[in-house]
Amino acid sequence: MSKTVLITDDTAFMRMTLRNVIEKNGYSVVGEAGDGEEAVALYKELQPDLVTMDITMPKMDGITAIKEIMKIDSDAKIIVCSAMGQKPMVIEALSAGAKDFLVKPFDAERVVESLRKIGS
Amino acid sequence: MDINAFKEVFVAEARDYLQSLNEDLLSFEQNTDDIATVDEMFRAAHSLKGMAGTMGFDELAEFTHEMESVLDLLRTQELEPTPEVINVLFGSLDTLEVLLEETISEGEISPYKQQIATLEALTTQEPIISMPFSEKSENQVAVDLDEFNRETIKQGISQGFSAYTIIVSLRDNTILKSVRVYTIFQALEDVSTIIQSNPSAQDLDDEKFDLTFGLIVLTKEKRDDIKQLVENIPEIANVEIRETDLSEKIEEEVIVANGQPDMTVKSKEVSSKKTRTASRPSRTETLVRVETERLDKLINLVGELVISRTQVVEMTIEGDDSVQKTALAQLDRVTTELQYAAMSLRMVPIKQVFDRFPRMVRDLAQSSGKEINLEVFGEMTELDRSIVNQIGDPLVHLIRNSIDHGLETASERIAKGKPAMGTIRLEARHEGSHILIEIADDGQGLNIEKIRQKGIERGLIAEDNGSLSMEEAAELLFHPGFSTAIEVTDLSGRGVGLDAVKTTVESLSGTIELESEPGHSTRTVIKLPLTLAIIKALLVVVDGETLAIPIQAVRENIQVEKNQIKTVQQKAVIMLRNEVLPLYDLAESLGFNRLDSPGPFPVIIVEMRGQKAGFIVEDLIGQQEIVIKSLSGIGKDIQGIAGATVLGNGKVALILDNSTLIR
Repeated sequence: MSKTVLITDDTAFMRMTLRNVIEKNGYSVVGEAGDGEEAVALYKELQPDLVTMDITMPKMDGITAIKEIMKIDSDAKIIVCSAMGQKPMVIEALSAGAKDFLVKPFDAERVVESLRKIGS
Repeated sequence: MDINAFKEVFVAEARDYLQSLNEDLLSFEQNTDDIATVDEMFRAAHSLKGMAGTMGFDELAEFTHEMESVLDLLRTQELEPTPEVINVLFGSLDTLEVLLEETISEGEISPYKQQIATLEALTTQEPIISMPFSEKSENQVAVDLDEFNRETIKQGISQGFSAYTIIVSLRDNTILKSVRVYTIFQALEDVSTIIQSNPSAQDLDDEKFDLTFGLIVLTKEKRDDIKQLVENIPEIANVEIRETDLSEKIEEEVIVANGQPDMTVKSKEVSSKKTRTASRPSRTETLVRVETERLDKLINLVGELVISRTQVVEMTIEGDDSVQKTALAQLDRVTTELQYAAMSLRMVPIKQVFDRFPRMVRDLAQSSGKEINLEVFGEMTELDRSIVNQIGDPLVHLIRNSIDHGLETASERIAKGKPAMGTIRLEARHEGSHILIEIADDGQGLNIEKIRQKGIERGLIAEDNGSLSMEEAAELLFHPGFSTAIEVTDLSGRGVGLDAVKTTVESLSGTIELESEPGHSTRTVIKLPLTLAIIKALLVVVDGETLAIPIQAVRENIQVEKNQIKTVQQKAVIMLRNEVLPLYDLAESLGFNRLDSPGPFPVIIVEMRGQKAGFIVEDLIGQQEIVIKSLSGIGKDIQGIAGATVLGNGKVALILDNSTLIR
């Protein structure tokens, strides 16, 4: 059975791009969240194998969402997504429990490598 | 990180190697069958060569290379260890020493090619092979394993951990390299302790590296598991892992990354470093080199801590809080232990000084044509580093004196019925809180008449003074400007007299005494304190002031009733166990207000130079360890005061100079 992924990003375009890459490589996207709150709620509901998490989002930012999800499931496998120049926030996300990071614009191979290595 | 940062370590080590080369050559000269010694020397020369090459000291490298070649032939027994060969080697060590010191001081390099030619003449085999260490390899990443971390790793290993050196190369399209490094650190920290990285963690964070970096970790995990863990992190091109090699004696651990050249760190400091394969005798592996400045700072801080501790303990002494008391007792104990530990860091065996004498005596014996046997005892006796550093020259002077003025030639000795071979005995030993260094020879002893003549010549004594006593003669010898060298020889009489020796010894709070049995022996005894930093002292009150008396002079303290004080020849004395001791009022001796009391008086019995005396004080406070702070400015030259200390209550107490108490 293919691994399940929850995508979190406030822009539909980014969610679409990611879904495209992820599904092409044999993973199944089980949900899309538009902000942190939604991501936390969907994580509880869907129990995905992997989560991609944007940092800058309305309502609840990615870092808070990572912390919330880690409270629910300390084994959660979250990959934080950031734009260039967000180094301090990426570090914060990693120390909050994210397992890896991706930098936009996404490189398809990098996304897949991350999913594969973190998901294993 | 400039290569010059290693210079200090280089200097210290190079001198060590030179010293052991000298020692080994001496012992090899005695027993030329002992190939193991030659092996040792070969390794030392090789190490020196490697070190010199690394530092870019080409002359030194060239020279040691030549020595190494000769030693190699000796060790493979292709070259006979004839006296000629040994002498050439001794000569080479001298040249090497000069070369080393000149290189260190960055001064003019004296000609050394002649000595190289002499060495080459011994080998006459193959042409000079190009030195392997001069080949530059760019394909290296270094992890500088500093001494502190080396110690940490050793401890870790002894507790069942393994130390691995990990070389990680990132893919060249890695974005946010520093964050990638962070994830690697994060992953490793779950299963290991990262001891060190190169570049430093800061530089890694600032992305001041290309794509490859090195780490040393301590872990209980298996090597392959660690490797897999790192490989499982995205954006990693290559991971090399191997056990960290501590057996090599090197200040910098050099790791060769077996990857493609494009993964190499090409920073300046890396390309200037080369692999060193030197090994060193295992005894030195447990040593850590620390800059003396840092050590002094630590000791000074511990000194301050000791004072603060005393302050805290005194402040709370009235309290009834037992928890607090327990905690304070613990603080007290730990501080005391820390103090002893810190003090012991200052202590070094006098061996470092004694070690140079066998060679010196050998050379002086050869050049003076005298037969001399040097006996060395107690070389492991430890004393304060600062004292050890300064006592070398006085000892050299005294030994030279023994050889030049003391010992006779073999024929003279035989004529006198002495054994042909003269003996110089050098001994160090503890005596209470002091160390005694004794230099004795069985030579002709002091020629008192000659000394008297010289004293008159120099205008130091009156002509009609009659004959001198042995003590007076010895005193004259230490007089500034007096030199007994009738003819100035190469050995001594270089214009620096025994007074210089005395000055040095006294500046170390030591004393020097010389005694001689004319015709038979001369014996010089230097008495030095073990340490100069912290002493035990007896605190007393005199005229309302607290004074510290260094405990080494204090024999006991007693109560004396007024009627026990007797007068002999208008001087106050007391009887103590059938001994008559002069009695002084310490306040009066120091120029304070006389003690006005009906008694009984607390009296401190002090002994200096075998003389005992009693001192009346106002009150006794007790024993305490004090940190000596030297006085400066107007306080510097006050007779009878050796320094000052800050007491637990924050007050300053003057420290008495024992040697001037009794006169």
